[in-house]
Order: sequence, then structure tokens, then C-alpha cells
Amino acid sequence: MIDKFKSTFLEEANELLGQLEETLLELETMPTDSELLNKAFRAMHTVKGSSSMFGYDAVSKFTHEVETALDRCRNGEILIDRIFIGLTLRARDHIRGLLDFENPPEELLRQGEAILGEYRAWMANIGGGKAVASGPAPKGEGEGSKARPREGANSEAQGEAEPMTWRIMFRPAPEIFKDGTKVLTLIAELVALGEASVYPHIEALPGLAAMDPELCYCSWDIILTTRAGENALRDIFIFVENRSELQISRIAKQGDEFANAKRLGEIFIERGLVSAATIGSVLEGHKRLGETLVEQKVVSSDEVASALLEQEHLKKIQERKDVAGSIRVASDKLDSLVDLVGELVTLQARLSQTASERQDSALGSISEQFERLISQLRDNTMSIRMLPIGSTFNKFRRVVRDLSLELGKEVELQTEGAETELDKTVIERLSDPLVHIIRNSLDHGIESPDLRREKGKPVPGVIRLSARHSGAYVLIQVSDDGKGLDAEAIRQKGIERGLIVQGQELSDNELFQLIFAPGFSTARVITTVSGRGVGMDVVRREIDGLGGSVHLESAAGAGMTVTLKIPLTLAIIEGLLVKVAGDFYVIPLSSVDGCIEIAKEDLDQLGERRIFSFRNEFVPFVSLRRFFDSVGQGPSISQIVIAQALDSRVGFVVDQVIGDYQTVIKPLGRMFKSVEGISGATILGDGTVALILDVNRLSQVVQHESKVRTAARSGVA
Amino acid sequence: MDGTSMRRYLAFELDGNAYAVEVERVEVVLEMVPVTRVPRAPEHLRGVINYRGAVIPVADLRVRFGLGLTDLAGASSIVVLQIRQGDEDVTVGFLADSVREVIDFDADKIDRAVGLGSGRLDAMVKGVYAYEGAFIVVLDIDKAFEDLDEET
Repeated sequence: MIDKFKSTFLEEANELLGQLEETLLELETMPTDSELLNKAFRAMHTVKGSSSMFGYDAVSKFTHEVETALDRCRNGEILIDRIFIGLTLRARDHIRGLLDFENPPEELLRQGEAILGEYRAWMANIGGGKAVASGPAPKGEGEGSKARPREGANSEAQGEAEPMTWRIMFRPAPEIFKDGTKVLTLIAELVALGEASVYPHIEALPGLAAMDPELCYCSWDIILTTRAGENALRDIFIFVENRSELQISRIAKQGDEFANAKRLGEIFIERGLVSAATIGSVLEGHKRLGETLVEQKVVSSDEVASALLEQEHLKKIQERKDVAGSIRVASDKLDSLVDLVGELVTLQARLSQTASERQDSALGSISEQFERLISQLRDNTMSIRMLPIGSTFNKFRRVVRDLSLELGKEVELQTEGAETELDKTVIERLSDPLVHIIRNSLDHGIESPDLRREKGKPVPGVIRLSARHSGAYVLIQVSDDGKGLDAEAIRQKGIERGLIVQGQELSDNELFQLIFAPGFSTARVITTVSGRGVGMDVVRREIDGLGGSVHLESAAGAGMTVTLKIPLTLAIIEGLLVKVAGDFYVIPLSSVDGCIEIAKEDLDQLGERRIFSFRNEFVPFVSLRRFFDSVGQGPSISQIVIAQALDSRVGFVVDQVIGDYQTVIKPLGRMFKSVEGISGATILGDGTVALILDVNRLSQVVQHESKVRTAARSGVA
Repeated sequence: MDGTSMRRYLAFELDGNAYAVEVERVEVVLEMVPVTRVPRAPEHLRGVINYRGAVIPVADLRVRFGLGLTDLAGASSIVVLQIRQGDEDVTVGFLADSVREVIDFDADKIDRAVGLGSGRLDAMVKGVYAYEGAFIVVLDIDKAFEDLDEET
């Protein structure tokens, strides 16, 4: 039992230390923000309190001293400077280290003493705090007086307004179409503002014969929960307001107690459809209110449906708020949940196969319902594992801070899309490659302050880290405004290393790919940071392992951008099951663009060129039979599956397309690490194994081969 | 009480010759199941199978011994066992013509001096044990699965 508490304590302490790091880094840029300082103090204080409760005396003793220093800053006795932030960051790391031991070794305790000694020296130096915040704080220096909240917080406060629920009743004038207004666009704009339930009133729609297609017969009730204010809502209707009837009223603020208690009767009264007296009299009876009102022709069934929708919407919002609190679950429990769901999905595939083989319709219908439930279960389970990627951004902020000090460069890390969600395992495995890339940018990309000044660039360099969703993938970009890749240096190094030959024609992009080769580095001076040629090949390997891909762009003198394309989840994907020479393969559905049939004669004719036209675009293709060295002849009619790889389309010739398949991804294991074009395996309904194609990798191989062919042909000609 | 060097071994047959691996490494002996070929994989890896919901590789020791490919239709069993690769335990299977029996013998009596021919084969073998008038080749199963590329 004690152990359980202790592990909870450790978890929370680590979380607090994470927060502390973040706060300190922010504080460094805004040293006068008292709220940040308070936050840091509180975190430190909590760590102190709970560590002494659990017998981590070394931690509480050390923390106490640090807290004292923080307290003096808080009282305004001492002003915060870079040295202090640096010291406190080190103190944080030290506490983190102490937590690993119940009885820390002498060595570690001595390190702690050393840090405290530095604190004391610093406080004595500053001596009572007449000093001014020194050191080149990158921004926010001086301007942020205590009285004024920081700008960021201000604009944030506006964006973070409490969500409110609005009822918008929109009755457009019948002639509204005539001046070119697109009513649906207006509604779409509204829906985009938040979470909406839309009820269309179509009872006024006449029969087809009587209908004038140029008139609008419909009207809409929209229940919208949004952070946007009333003005933002009215703005949408600004051009149609005078000709239409528009009512916008606030129903509830999130958190209103009435919100979930709102009854149908209240909604009718609020909407002005029924008087309170009528509701009262109807409620005397025992039937459902809605039905009775319709029977008595007080309101139409349409109005009831719309009101019910509002009730439903409010209930949903309220429920969401009720569970907004979270619970802590050990991550291995989640992992085993995912495994179990994976097995269920596999078993379901067997069930549906058995049902169809037996042509048993009763079993088939059970299987179908089962499938629906399982796919919901799957989505839910996956969403539990999703974490915002921002949780790792702090680590990078620290890397940038420490490294830029070490290298004597000024660099600011900007982040965007911290809220982008990704599978927890993916996030964990992304962390190291991203550190490599960021270090690389800092070390090789960003120039020294002098050089930047000379080139007329702003002295502080910028590294931008951004994440966003793109289909079933997340795109993560690291870009810098440094000097970019030196194509010529890479070419020279490539020749030196025997990766390319003198005079070989390569596009810049192909040249850049060379930096992912093992042992490749163009840095002339080897630093402790990078330049030893490990790094970028590790990045490539890790990202490949995640089923993702790496893309580079660089503009000489203006900086470079590394883009990682990472699948959202490693566990279960939607796939397209295909058959090649008796074997089954899965192509991730998210990358499939389409399928076309092709007769054997046509295929043979295209054989040499291996390019066909799809949607007015020439697409290279590869016969999987040929690529996989399968024995035997293809069928008389094959299918080409067109897939979207990282930067181009590619076609795969398969014997047969079977259909959608929920694919539980299983790793192939390290013994197959040399195999190209296969990213994993999955278990089919009959218990056999199908392989999952790695579309990006295959596309690279195909493009490479088609280039080699072109080169060979032009060589002959 | 001097039973410390007595070990249990699983004996199996390949091409009429008897081989043995330590029983404690063996998880299960499966009847032959369809093996999914992995295109462009090293020759000695014949593919993958589904073993209790995990996908595991199936190796062909014949290829490792330089005896050509095993006919998948003729193999009778897949021996599933744990091997050590680098610092990881990996579950793998290998094809066997037939699995004979579990025998106990003294590990100290394995004759390590006998050379079997090629150096590569010797590296995969712990030694030879004389049993009921015949020889059983005792395999060093970790070495037998080592990646060919890593050896060179």
C-alpha cells in the first residue's frame, strides 16, 4: 500500500518538476512576471512538502534551500537574472536525480551542496537586490512591469473565454437565393465556430410540382456551443440580416446548473412557441409533453424535434463537462487494453469469415453488429492513448536553451500545434529523433551572432517546431532561419564517401538525402554536439521504424526545414487487403487514392515503361509479382492500386483487390530489418499472416529504379 | 547429487541427421502451419507465422547448414523457441523434418572437439554427443540464428 502511495508521489513529483522546468524557461523570457514566479514557487513548495512526507529527506532539505532563494525573489528582494534561472534549472535536475534514491549516494549529495553554494554566492553578490535584471534576456525585458499582465496572457484570456451555448433561429427570406447568398455556407461558417447541432425545418417545402427552385422554403435552428461571442455570430449573418429573421439568444454558459436540467417545456417557453400556462395544463396529463402538444396542435412535430435536439445538445455538453476531470491510469494497463482490442478485431475477422462461409444470415447479422461495436471500441481505445505532442515540447525548449548557451548562439524556439494529438508510443519514440534534428539545426544551421549581423539577419536565430494533422498522419516540421544545407559540400562529401560518383546528375533533393547516410557529416569541426556523423541516419532509422518518412527542404542562406510524416497510431489501421500470387498484403487505406483494372495485354504492353496515366497525371507503377519475385503468371485482369506516397503517386499491380480490412499491426521483428517495402504484418481471419506494405519506401525504390532505367536507355541512345 | 551438468535436450531430425537443442529454450512444437513468405528476406528466413497472436519468423536451418531449401510441404513441425539476439529475447521458429524425443544427457560429455566441416557450421554447433550408437549434433541455437550480415 505504501509503495502505491510512493509511486503516486514520484509520478506527481516528476510532473511538478516538468511544470517547474516549463515555468522557469518562460520566466527567463519574462523575468518580471510575478505570476510565473509564484507558479515556480508553488511547484517547489509542493515537492518539498510531499517529499518530506514520504521520507525523501535529502530532497526536502535541498528543496527547502532553493525555496528560500525563490522566496526572496518573490518578495522582490532580489531580481531574477539568467544566472538564477540557470541555477534553478540545475537544482531542478538535481531534485529529479535525488528522487531516484531513497538514500542518495554521497557523491550526489555533494553535487547538491555545490549548487546551494552557488546560490549563496549569487545572493551575496546581488546583495539585497538593488541590481537590475542583467543578461541578455531575449525578449520581454523591461517592458513587463508587474502591474501589467503579459501580452500573451491577455490575448489568451480572450481566446479562452468560457464556452457558451447559443440558440440561433434563422428564417431566411424566401427570395434569399436571388441575390446570390449561399445559405449553407453561412451555416457551415457557424458550425465551424464550435460544437453545433443543426435542425432544418423543411415542413414548408411544397411538393415537387409546386416548388419554385429559386425560392428558399427552409429555415434552421442551430444550437451552438462556442467560445466566440455574440458579435462573431451576428457577423456571419451581416449581409442577410435585414431580409431574414434572425434570433440569437444565449441558452447557457457551460457550467450553468440549469443546462442539463432544462426540460422540453422550458425550451418551448423560451422559444416563445407555447405559453407557460399551456405547458402547465398539459403537464397535468401523464403523456409525454411533446406528444401531447403535437396532439393539441399547439406546436408542430417539427418544432418538437428541434427542441429535443436542443435538449440533447445541452445534455451532451454538460456530460462532457462532468467528465472533464481526468483519472490517472498506468500506461501498461492501456497497452494491454489495446492488445486486447487488437485480439478482438482479429477474432471479429474470423467470425465474419465464418459467417460468410456458412452463409448463415443469423450469424452474419450478429457478426455485423459485433463489427460495429468493435470498431467503436477500437476508436475509443485509440483516442485514450492519444496525447498532445506539446508534452514533449518542453524538453526541446530546454535543449535549445542549454545548447545555445554552450555554442554562444542566440536562438529562440517557437512552437506551434502543441495540442496536436498522437499515440503515446509514437510521441515517446519521436522525442530522440526530434532532439537530433533540433541540435543539428542549432549547430549547423543557425549562424553565429556575428555572422548573422554581417548578413543582415536578425541576431537571434529562430527554430520553429510545428505539428499538425494531415489525414491519418501527423506532419511535424522543424525549420530554422540559418544558412541552409550546402549542396556543394554535400556533393563533395558524398563523392569522398563513395556514395555518389563525380559528375553524377542529382537534384538538390537527392543530394540532401545523402545526409541520412550512416556516417555522413559535412561539419568540418567536430563539436560535442553534432558533426560525428551519427544523428541524421539515426533519425531516418527511427522514423522508418515508426512507419513514417523524412523530407528535407533547404534554401541556401535562408534556412532549412525537416518534415516528419508520422502515422497517428502504431496499433490499428484501416487497410486495403489485396492478393498477389496467392499471398495476402495490406496497403494502408489512408494512402490509397484509387484502383483501376488493367488487362494482361495492356500491362504487358506498358511493361517496359511502367508508367500509366491516372487523373491526367503520369504515375510510375510496379508489379508486385515482379518486385516480390513471385512465381507463376498474373491473372488475365489485374488491378492497379494507386497510392499516395510522401511526395508522389505510385501504382501497385496486384492480382486482386479483396476489400477493406481492419488491420492490427504486428511488428515483423529485427530479423527482417533488412527487408525493404514491408512495414509490418497482421493476422487474418483464418489465422494466417498477411504483410503490410510500406508505401513510402516502395515508392522510393520504384522511382529509383525508373530513374536507373531512364538513365540506361538514354545511355544507349 | 552431482546432477548439475545433466541437461534435457529436444532431439529432431533434418535430412536424416539428428540434432538437439536445450529443452529449456523450447516453447512448443507446432504441427506444420501455412508459412507466409516475406519477399526479399534473407534466404534462411522462410517467412512468418502467427504464434499466439504474435508474428514470429520461421527459419530454415537446412539453409544455414548449406543443405538447400526445405520443402515446406514435406516439413512436419515448427519448433518454437526463445533465442537471445543482442540484448533481446526473441521468439522464433524453425522447420524440422520430424521431432524425435526429449533425452537427458550430461552436457560435460558433449564432444566439442569434433569438427563438422565448414567453419560456419562449426560456429553454430556446441559439439557432438554419442547416443545409442549414433551421433547427435548439439546446436548453439543463438549462433544458428545470428544474422549472416552481422557475421561478416
